[in-house]
Amino acid sequence: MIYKLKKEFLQEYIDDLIKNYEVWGPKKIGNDVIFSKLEKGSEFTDERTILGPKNFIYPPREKIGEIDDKEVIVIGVKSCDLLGYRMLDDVLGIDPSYAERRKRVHFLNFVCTEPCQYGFCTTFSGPRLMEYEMQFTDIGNYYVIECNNKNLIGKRFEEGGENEIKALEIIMSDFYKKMPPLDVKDLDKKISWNDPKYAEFAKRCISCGACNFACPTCFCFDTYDDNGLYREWDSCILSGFTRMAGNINPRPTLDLRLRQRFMHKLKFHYENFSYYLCTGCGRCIETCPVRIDIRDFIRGV
Amino acid sequence: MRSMIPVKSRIIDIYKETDDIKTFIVEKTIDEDPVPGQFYEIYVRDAGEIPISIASWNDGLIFSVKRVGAVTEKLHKLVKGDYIGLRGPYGNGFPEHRRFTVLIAGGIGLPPARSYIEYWLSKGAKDMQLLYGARTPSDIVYKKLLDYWSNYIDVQITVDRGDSTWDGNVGVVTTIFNRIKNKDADFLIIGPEIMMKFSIIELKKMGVSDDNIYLSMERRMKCGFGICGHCNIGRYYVCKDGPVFRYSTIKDIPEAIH
Amino acid sequence: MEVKTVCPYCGVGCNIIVVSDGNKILNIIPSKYDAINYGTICIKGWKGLSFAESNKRLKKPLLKKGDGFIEITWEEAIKIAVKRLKEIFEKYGPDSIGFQSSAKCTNEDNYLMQKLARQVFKTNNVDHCARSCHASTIEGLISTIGSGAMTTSIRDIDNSELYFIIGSNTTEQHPIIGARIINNVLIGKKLILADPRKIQISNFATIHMRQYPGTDLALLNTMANVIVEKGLYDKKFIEERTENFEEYLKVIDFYDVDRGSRITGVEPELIEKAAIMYAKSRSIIFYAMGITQHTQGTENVQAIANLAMLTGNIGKKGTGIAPLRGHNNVQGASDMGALADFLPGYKRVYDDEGRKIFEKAWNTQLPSKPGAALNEMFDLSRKGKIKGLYIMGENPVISEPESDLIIESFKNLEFLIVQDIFLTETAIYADLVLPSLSFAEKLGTFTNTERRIQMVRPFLSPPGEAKADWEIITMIAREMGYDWRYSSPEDIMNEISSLVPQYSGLTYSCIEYNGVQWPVNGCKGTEIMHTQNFTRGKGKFIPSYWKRPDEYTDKEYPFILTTGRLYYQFHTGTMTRKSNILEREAPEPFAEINPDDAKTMGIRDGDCIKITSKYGSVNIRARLTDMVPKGILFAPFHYFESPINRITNPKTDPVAKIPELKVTAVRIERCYP
Ligand SMILES: Cc1cc2nc3c(=O)[nH]c(=O)nc-3n(C[C@H](O)[C@H](O)[C@H](O)COP(=O)(O)OP(=O)(O)OC[C@H]3O[C@@H](n4cnc5c(N)ncnc54)[C@H](O)[C@@H]3O)c2cc1C
Ligand code: SF4
Ligand code: SF4
Ligand code: FES
Repeated sequence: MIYKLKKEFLQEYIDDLIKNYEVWGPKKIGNDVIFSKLEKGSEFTDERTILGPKNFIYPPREKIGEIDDKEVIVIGVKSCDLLGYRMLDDVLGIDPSYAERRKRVHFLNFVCTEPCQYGFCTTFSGPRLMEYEMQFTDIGNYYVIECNNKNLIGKRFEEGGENEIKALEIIMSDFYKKMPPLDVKDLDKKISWNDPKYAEFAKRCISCGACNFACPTCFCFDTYDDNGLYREWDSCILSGFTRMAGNINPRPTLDLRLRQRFMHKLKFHYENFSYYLCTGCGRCIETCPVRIDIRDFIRGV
Repeated sequence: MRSMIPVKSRIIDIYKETDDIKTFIVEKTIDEDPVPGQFYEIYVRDAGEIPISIASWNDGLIFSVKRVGAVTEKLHKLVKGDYIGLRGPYGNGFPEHRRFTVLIAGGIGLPPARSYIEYWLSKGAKDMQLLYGARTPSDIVYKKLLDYWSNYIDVQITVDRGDSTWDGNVGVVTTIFNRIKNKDADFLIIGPEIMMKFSIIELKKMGVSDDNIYLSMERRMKCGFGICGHCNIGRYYVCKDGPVFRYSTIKDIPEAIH
Repeated sequence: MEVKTVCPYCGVGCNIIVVSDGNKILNIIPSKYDAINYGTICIKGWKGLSFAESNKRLKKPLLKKGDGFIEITWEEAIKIAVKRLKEIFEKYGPDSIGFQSSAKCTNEDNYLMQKLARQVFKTNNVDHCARSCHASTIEGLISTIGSGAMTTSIRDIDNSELYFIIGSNTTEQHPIIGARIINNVLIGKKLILADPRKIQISNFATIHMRQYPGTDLALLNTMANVIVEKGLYDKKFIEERTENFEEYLKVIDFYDVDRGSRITGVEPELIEKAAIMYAKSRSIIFYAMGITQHTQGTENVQAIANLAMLTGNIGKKGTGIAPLRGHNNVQGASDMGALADFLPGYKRVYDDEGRKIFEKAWNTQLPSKPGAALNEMFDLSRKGKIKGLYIMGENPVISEPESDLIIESFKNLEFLIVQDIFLTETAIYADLVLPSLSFAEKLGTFTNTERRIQMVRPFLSPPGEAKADWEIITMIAREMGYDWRYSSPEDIMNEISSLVPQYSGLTYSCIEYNGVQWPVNGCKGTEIMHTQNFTRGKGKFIPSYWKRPDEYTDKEYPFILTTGRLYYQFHTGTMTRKSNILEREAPEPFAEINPDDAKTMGIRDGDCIKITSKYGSVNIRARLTDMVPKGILFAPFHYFESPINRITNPKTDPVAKIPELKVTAVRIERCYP
């Protein structure tokens, strides 16, 4: 269903949500914008956060077997993140504890109408998603709301129709002009095991793991014991990721590990699922201390 | 069993095989039956979780574990009656027995080979041969079983370094490839990658096709069912698409056998 | 709850935002704060915080009983602590007790620790680990330019044309600064590196000089010689802003390129090229332990200051001297006077004027004799002079040289208090263990390597009954009969900002979101120091001749052992080794050896080798790499399994008393574990 909402009523809508749910959304903390628990609608901003809200469905660290059962609404997630979580579902979805948590988190996404600094989401499907619970697009005085969850409809929502869809389409075609897609056709076949870029990146990569931790699609985790089993986000950039007993390591050097990262996203996952494991969010570029740029890599292939 | 939560299971018995290998018999607290070549994730409290191949099963599950690091060290310290955690069975297991099969096992590769031999022997299949390489005579595991099997199938053993008690072959496992009885066979290789590498070279020389060579691969593992991302070889996850691969499937992947 | 706080590891002081529910961390987000980390952090920031959530945290005060410990209440703990300290104080006098403060703790904690030592126990026996890392920086820079801190800021890196890194493995030890330098080199700026090892940043070096360990002073003097020779020095700057230039000329005259090259092992052309490039560009010099941990550490630092003054590369945008501080708060702990010879704000203890300020504020007589330095405290206790030791957040058994002697010295003590967040290798020797709070549970401030005072905020609830260090120290002072009334760290900061000139007028509200760099005036900070005048007025050239390091190779000890840290581990590993991923990445000790050396000795990668010095030996695994040149071994000191500091050279710089951890002569042989 298509609705529209006068922009001035967004705060009120969020206030109403807060009455019934725990609501999290982007909020300003000093110079930073981060997902935090909203006490009132006026705290909300639709600015882009450094990290997406992946932690809601997939915490950075958790005790295995321990999940809380509260229902949470996360409003203001960007489409590139949400699309990433759809990809996570394809892998992690078979894990009952992930599936359980996933059901309890409702993401309401906001479609970007201006390109961000590092994003290239048009390459992979663009900011307007096909799958969503509720998708907001700013068309000037109104938000157009595409809705698949009746329970979350607000009292000020007005029915929308042709006009709104038109408006969306114009905004999107404008957006694509501003952010022309990269050419990713047959990338999975063209990408090479011996691309010299791997070694070039390895020269400056400081193994911080940010490209994994910031990525909405990275799903790898490690487990360990600390008086009970825990799991935490892992990074394929680290040598311990594949090291086995007796110091046997199939990926002993950094260039091989960087190769794994690019090839997993742009080849292996494609071969298994017929889509690239990247949504073009650009977070790995933004959080990389030495500006290793996946766009450069794709262009170079 | 696709879950990260281990099922508690009691250790029924422990046997010392060699200085650094012990065999554990544990309660079968998970209903699902394994097939030869599959593995379980074993959780040892205050240490962690590790993948271990099933060696045999009936009332209990039998695992043989070599002490090599933190978790195996702790596991070796457990005693009869202690509890461990279990998840599994995981992986695809060995292909069905369909014709003469040569098992080439090195070191701690024998336990998975055992699961295959026992399973198919019990089904009446005797067209198998085992080539087993150990470091030294005192590193040989399952001595009694090896004797027992040789009543039914051909068992060939070699050691890298002999001693005064040893009158068998000395040399790496490929030095007994001339004893292979049937080249038109399935070859299952279980052991360190370096052994796989040289075995494949020899088998190729003998004209064995890539399709008839199966490798039981080892990678660092954390989940066992394809979600933790640790064990991939190219597009394949060793835990879920393996651990047993046709050589032809993975041979063109640069990091497969390095 | 979400708080903006500071990474607890290195001196870069990256800003992070932690989201938590009070009991566990829900998310860690690098702040976009562009003065420091612009949305990036290193692996320690991403993965190193889980130590705080570890189930092994100390939760209750522990009293030694037999070979083990029993849990006691805080009331009992404080009573016992005070009773025993008082006994020692009364029986043996003030200087019989030593206090070890901590660069991991906040400014507020450190301020109170030294106040406890000085006001309550009347001793200057208070020190912290800056002694073993940057004491020579303090001495070296105060004597030349008047202030012992980085003269410029991290943000200013973008304004330079050239970076000269000497004795710092920047990408591993200060990753986010290293990354900022790399980003600038990628857009065409220049990098001169002086380091015996082929460290990662050498990939980007325009010039890499691999000097012999312990020859830095000669290298710096030779560069100065070249600059003078070619007339590339800044005459105007020298005339207007410095003194003692003539003396300097006399000394560096000795270091012609050929001599410099012979001493350092660096080709003459490289030294020449580097000197010319440095002099001709807007340049910042970065240095760390490779410069300071030498018997000539202070002179090394002075030589750096000399070089900067010679070329006018200081006090302007894009120039300066950048000592890279190891710990998150080693700058702050020094500022707070947790040093045996300095009161807060770098007033010498023997400076009557300076002392008066604190005597008045604290209403007491203060001792004017410098106290025992960190490593001297152990000597003194072995000699029976120090009878009680109160160690806060330090693990000298792993971090200090000749650790066997330290353990021995503990046996001579009548009372040892260790206040920490884990039962460390040192804590097991304590009579009383006090559980304290980590950065994750307490409020306060850290001062990073660029003098930026930043807020640290709690995001987890305390484990068990653990208490903040400042609170514990306050309880002890009160039990000793002193009317300390601090109800929050803010109260302490208010006292600091009224007494310490660099922090003058600072309040927590000034640094709510972003920190400010000292010297501050109210909320206004200083990005670049020494712009008009040097802190000491005129900059003073203090030249020195190079001396052979205390240890050198001979037949018996043909290798030089140098020690350092790894990217994934930190200091003694108390925190990093409790963080799963970090420990996984660097789980065991090793010694790097050049493959050629290894070959001649029949050593293969992974073999056990026994390293022996005059002080002892350790067994360790060999790692073959051409990162180290021939004749040199490198080993990290984080590991209790192979405590490398058991065998390092304890000789110290006579001025700064910093041990020469970087140069120990050793021999190696194979071992069979
Ligand atoms: C499918 C499969 C079947 C196996 N079957 C057996 C068996 O039957 N008997 C046996 O003795 N060993 C077997 N192994 C090897 C065994 O898993 C490792 O020896 C063990 O994980 C080492 O753990 P550790 O903690 O003692 O060593 P550490 O070196 O301390 O390892 C730490 C962690 O790394 C991971 N890890 C290290 N080495 C390996 C490895 N080789 N494979 C996978 N993960 C690793 C584990 O998660 C472990 O917890 C098998 C491995 C795989 C992949
Ligand atoms: S790989 Fe980079 S751009 Fe792609 S989804 Fe991940 S973080 Fe975003
Ligand atoms: S660079 Fe230093 S301060 Fe920044 S995240 Fe890493 S350890 Fe922490
Ligand atoms: S073990 Fe987790 S994906 Fe294979």
